[in-house]
Amino acid sequence: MSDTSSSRNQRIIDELLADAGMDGAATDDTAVLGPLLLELRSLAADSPRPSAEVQALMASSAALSRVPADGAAPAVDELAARRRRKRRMPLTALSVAAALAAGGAAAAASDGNFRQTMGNVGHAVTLFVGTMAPGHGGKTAGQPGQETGTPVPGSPAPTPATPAPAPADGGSAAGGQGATHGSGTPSPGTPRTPGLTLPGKADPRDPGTVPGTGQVPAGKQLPTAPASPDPSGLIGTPPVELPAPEVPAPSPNR
Amino acid sequence: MLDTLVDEYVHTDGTDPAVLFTLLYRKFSGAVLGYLRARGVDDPEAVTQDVFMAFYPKMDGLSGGLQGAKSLIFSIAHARMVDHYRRNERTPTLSPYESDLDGRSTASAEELALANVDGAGALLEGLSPDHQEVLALRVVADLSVEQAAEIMGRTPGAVKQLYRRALSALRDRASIGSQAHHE
Repeated sequence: MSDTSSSRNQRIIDELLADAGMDGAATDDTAVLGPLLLELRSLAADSPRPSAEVQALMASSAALSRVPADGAAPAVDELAARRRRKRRMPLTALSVAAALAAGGAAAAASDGNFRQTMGNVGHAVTLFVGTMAPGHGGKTAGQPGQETGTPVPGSPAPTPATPAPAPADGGSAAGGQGATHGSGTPSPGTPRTPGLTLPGKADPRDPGTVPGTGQVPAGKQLPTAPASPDPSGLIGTPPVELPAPEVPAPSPNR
Repeated sequence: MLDTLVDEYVHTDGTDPAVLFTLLYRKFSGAVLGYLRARGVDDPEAVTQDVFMAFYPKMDGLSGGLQGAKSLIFSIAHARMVDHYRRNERTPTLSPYESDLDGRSTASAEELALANVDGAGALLEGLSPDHQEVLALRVVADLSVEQAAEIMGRTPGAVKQLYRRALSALRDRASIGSQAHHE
């Protein structure tokens, strides 16, 4: 340290003498003035200790050590903020998608046609499954008999009419399905209940006969109900029976 | 290292003034103290603190980088030195206590160290005030010809000529002193 400072001082003194045109190692000027100037420069060798007032204006050592790293601090903060923003992106997208799906589902569920079409689709699926699996098809065929039979104990005379609407309330197509099975779809239903189907199904089909006359089928349909106690009637109910809702209106049950 | 750091921060706007002030104090306080000693100012340590206390409020309008700060600091120091001599002219002459005439004491280590410093400061005694000033600014404060000219209120050419004459006077005085010492 002292070597470097003394060599630095010597270099500066050489420059000072050169400025005055007194350079040159052999000259007397350098030999005389060199030590004098070095002695003069030694006056500035030591720094005074700062007073209390000056010390109060100075930065702390921690602030001085932090000086070179000042530029990096905001970059770190910005990076963290960017990471937080990236983390929020999928959450925001997910919440928006969930909100849209919920809204769309509510709108669709409030539409009656949609519900009906969904029910029809369900019936079509069950029918298709029934046709593909003959064992299950037999059960579904018996359902119309069940439905017609269940209402019977409540009301003996109008039973033939009531059975159709009663299940129709729970599943509108149920009553109609029984009818279609009897007449339209012979394949699954006919082998199981040969005698029962003919009279029972013909009557509920006709809108005129259902409300007005319970006479003919009443006696014959009653036995049909106990004949098929399958609980699977709801599933097996084939599609498309609009007369079912019409029937209950005129029926005495309501 | 410190030079580069100070120069970088003097050039940068909006830096912490406390950091800049600290770096400048560490770099120039020794030179200011030496300048005040060479000019024979009373209590040079306290005046050095006053110089930096006066420099701090002027840091906002600082320009010229490290050399600009250096010029400003020594301008303040020069003004303090001038104030010191003006004040001495107004005050009556006091007869100080001369320890050399008092045979009841012996020199301590501190007195010997101060005698060495005073000896360096006494090198400029006998020179004209202008010669003392230009030597103090150029040699002790390590200022350039232009900076010394700005502080002294002269042209650079005049300062260069004054500096050359001051060195010649210092050499002549030293050679006279050495001859007297030999005799």
